[in-house]
Amino acid sequence: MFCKLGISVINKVIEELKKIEQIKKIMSLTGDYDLLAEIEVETSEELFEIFANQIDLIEGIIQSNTHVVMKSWEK
Amino acid sequence: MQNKYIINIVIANLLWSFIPILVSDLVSQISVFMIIFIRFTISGVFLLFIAIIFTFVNNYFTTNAKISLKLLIENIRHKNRRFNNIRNYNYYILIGFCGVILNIIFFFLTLKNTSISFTMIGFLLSVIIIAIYEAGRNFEKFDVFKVLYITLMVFAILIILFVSYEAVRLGGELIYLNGFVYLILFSVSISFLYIGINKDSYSKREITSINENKYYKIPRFLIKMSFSFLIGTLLMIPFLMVLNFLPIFSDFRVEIILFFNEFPNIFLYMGQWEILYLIIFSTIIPYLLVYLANVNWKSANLTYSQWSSILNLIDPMGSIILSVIFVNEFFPFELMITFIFLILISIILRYAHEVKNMVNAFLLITLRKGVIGLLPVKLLKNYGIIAIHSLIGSHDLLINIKISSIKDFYYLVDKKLKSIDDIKKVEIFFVNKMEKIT
Repeated sequence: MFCKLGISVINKVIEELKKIEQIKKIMSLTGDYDLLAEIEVETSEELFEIFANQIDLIEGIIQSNTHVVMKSWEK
Repeated sequence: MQNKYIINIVIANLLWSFIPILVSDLVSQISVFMIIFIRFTISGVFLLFIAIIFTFVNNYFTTNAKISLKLLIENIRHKNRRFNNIRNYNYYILIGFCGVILNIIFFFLTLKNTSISFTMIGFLLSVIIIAIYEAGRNFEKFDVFKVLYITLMVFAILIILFVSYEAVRLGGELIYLNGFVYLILFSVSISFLYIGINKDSYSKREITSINENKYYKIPRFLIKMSFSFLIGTLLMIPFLMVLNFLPIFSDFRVEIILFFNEFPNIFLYMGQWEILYLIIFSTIIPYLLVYLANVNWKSANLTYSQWSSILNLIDPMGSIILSVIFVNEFFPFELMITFIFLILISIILRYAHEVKNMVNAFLLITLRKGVIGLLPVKLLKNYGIIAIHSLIGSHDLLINIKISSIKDFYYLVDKKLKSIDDIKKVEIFFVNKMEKIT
C-alpha cells in the first residue's frame, strides 16, 4: 500500500500503522508517495477489515494506492 | 542487531585470525607451497563433496523443490555479466589462482620473512586500495566517513610499522626487501579477491531455481569455491615451474625446490594436526558459515557482501592479539589498545559510509500488454535488483533495488531498465528509512 500524507503528520501516521499487526514493513519514501506499507493477510475479508476499521480511520493519510502481489521473485 | 547471521561473519573472521599463529611455526617445517597445495586441494574436494551430498539430501530426503546438479555444472559455462562477461570457468580461474592462491602464497611468505603484526599491514593496505578503486571505477565519493576510516587505517599501519621498528631495535630479526615486496603483492592480490569474489551473476534458469528453492545457493557457492580452489592449486604447479627459471628472490626459489622435493611425503604432511586444523577450522567451517549467512541474509539496510567487507578487519585485529598471547610477539600494551580502538572505530565508520551511500529504492513499473510472463526473471538478473513483485492494480511490477551507489542506480534504471521496450513507464521511490520490519 502506497500512502500520500498530509503535512507534518508522517510520524503520527507511522506510529498508528506500526500498531497494526498485519503490516509487516513500513518505509518512508521520497517521490509521489510518502509511505510504503507491506501488508500480509490470509483472506480478502481480513484485508477489508484492516482497511475499514484501522487504516481508513488514520488521520493524515490523504490518498492510498493499494496493489495486491500476485507473485514474487527474489535472489 | 540487523541480522543474526552477522555472527557467522564474525566467527568466520575469528577462525581465520588463527591462521598466522599456526602457520608461523609450520612454515619452518614444510614449504609454504606444500601447505597451500594440501590445504586448498583437500578443502576443494571436501566442499565439492559437501555440495553433492547437500543436493542429494535436498532432493531425496526433503520436500523442498529439487536442485538440479546438471544446472549447477552447466552454470560453469554461463557468462558472468558482472565480470566483463567472461565465462564462469574463467572467472573461477581468476578468483582461484590470482585471488586465493597468489594471495595466500604472498601472505605466508610475508609471515615467514617478517612478523605476524607486520603481515597484517597487508589487510589494512587492501582497505585503502579498495577505497581508491571504488573512487576510480564507481566514482564513489570520498565522504567524511570514508576519509576518516582511511586516515585511521593509515594510523594503524604506522603503529604496526613503529612496533616492527622497535622490535628490530630491541634485537629482533631485520625485515629485508623481499618481506616488503611480498607484503605489497599480498595486499594487491587480497584486494583483487575482495573486489572479485562477490561479482557473481545468476542465469535466468538459476534465478527460477532460487525462487523455487532458496537453498540452491548453497551448493552453487560451494561448487564455486571448490572449483576456484582446485583450479588454483592445479595452476600453481606450472606457475612455480615457470617462476623457477625467472630472476626471483632466493628464498622463493628455495621454497619452490622444497615443494617439489616434498611431494613423495605429501601424505605424511596431510596428517599433521596444523594442516588438519587449517583445512577444517580455517577453510571448510568458515566458508560454510559465510555461505549460510549469504543464503539466509535478510537485512533492512546493508547486503551480506557489504557487512562481510566491513567486518573483514576483525581478522587482522584478532591475529595481532593472538600473536601476542600465543606466540609472544612484541607489541606494547598501550599501542595494542590504540590499535584495537582504531580498528573498531574504522568498522563503525565503514558501516556509516556504506549506509550513507546505499541506495534503497522501489520502482513501480507499467508494462506493455502481454509481456509479464518471463520479464521478472529476466530483470532479476540485473545487479542491484533484489526482489520483483507482480501486482494487481494500477501498475504491473514493483521492483526492490538495493545498490551501493547512485551511479550504479542511474546505470541500472536509465541504461538497463528504461531501454527495455516492454517497459512503458517507470516511477521511482527512494526509501528514506525503514520504519518497521518484521
